Amino acid sequence: MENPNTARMLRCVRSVISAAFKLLVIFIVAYPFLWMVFTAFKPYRETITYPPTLLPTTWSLEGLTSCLAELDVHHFMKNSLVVSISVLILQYIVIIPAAYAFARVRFPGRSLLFGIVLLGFMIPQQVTFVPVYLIFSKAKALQSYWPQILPFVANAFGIFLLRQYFMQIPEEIIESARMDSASEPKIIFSIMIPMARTALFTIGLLSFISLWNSYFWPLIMTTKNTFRPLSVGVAMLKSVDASIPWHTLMAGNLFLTCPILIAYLFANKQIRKAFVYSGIK
Amino acid sequence: MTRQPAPAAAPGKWSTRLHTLLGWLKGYVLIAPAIVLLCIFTIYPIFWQIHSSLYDGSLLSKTRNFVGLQNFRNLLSNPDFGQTVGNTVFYSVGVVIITIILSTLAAVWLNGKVQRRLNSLTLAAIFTPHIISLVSVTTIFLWLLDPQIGAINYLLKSVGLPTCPFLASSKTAMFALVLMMVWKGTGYYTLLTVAALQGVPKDIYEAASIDDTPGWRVFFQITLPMISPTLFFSTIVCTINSFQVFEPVNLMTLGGPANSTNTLVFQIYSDAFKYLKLGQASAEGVVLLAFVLILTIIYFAFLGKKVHYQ
Repeated sequence: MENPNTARMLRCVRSVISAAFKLLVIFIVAYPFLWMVFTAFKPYRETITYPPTLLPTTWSLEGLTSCLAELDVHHFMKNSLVVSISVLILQYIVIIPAAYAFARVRFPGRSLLFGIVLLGFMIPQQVTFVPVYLIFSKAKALQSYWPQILPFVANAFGIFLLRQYFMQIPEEIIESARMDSASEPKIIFSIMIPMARTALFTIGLLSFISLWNSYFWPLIMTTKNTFRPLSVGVAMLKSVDASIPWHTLMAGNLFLTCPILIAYLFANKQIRKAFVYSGIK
Repeated sequence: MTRQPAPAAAPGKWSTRLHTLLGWLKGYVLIAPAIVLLCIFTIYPIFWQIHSSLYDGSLLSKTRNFVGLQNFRNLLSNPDFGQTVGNTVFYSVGVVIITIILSTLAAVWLNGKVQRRLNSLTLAAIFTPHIISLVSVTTIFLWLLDPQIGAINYLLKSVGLPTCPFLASSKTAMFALVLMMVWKGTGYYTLLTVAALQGVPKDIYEAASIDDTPGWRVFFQITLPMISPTLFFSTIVCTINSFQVFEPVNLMTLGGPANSTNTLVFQIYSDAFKYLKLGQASAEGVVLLAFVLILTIIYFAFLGKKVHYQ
């Protein structure tokens, strides 16, 4: 027969261990980020000390200033924003009507054409980058933002997700709008878009994060700094000069990760929900 | 539908037909921009890739000659390409197995009823690396994994364990990349699994708790079967993503040391843009395409079955 007191103590010890272990996991995940942030504010001599330290003993803006001297952060950040915002706007213009038609308008060949959307959803960039590069090269459009924008406008995943949403909207609502002889654009704007707000937000958020972080695609599609995004710019910091000090590198990465980390700090529930939603569908 | 002249006696039929046609036209107009863009940037590249794999020539040459399956034969007889595929498979299997096991355990562990706030905080923390650019993740890990000054070896040394050369040795470099990508990806799959766990009906567990079933049996006989669809999808998605690994290789190892971290996509990239061997790059692209298609077909076959039996 077990003593109820020992059982309670055992439970207590177990929950303390479990909590400690959770804190350890949080620390393991956070440590690389903390190191990045603190290293950006260390003076040079503290970045090369051994054993490694986490917190700077003296805080310094040396890393930030040397990074800004090495890299035109403002210019690259502007490029990243131009690309992401252009994609977001054009994407909504293209995918909302398409998703509406696939969900709500009947026409021959609809499922066959939706197959193209599914194919676009599945085929990764890593399979298409050579021919797409050649398309833009033939069109003499490599020296522009277009190679970074156009391939992402017809967001197949977005069409897929929105279509699911549009299909759930009750038929009666649309029928009664059509009875009132509302035009298709009016139905889209006054019924479909407001009712699919969550999906639209999710699609925008996921696109923005993936565009901001993308490295592979802009690396291939750009040859000049004029059009390169921040991710490629920050990665170049390292390749230009092999002996670049850690505090300069980390300052560059701080500029790159900051917008995403701050957004996550304030909207972590929404962001996680968006990712779960996209993963389950 | 063919446009036959309507009988003059039925003008009403004419207008209905016109109405239907207009309805169809409306559909086509609405999807046209999306379909055109998808055809240019997805469908055409697939055919281009297959077609190009049958020709020789480079990114710069004006004419390219038909060589049949020669590019594929070259790949098969090239031991380096065999190693590249082997590396990619090793990397993918490593990432997938460790990520899925860790994320399943983490999800079950963090889905408990006690310490809810701490659980939610832990979930939020472990998901963070997923939304951070690989550019930053790889740069930070170059330091963490540094054999001399890095934090990981410092930790190993301070607890009395032997240090590891990580990226500096061909034996451990790929393993180091696997470790990094597990750190980056586990949180995402944990979130998906937690969502699946929350979908499991509570009364099943109540029945088990009345029976006093031990925890491990509850896990293997109830939890695991109930979340197996999600685990299956996670496995497929994780495998497809892992197979396309490029950034860690390009940013950390450039395929070395001694070709030990060269992967399929890095090889395609090098062949096309560095060595300008377009035909060979296309043949490698077709191999990647075939792999992705096979996994996708498995995915949809399973999806169809699941929908069918529910």
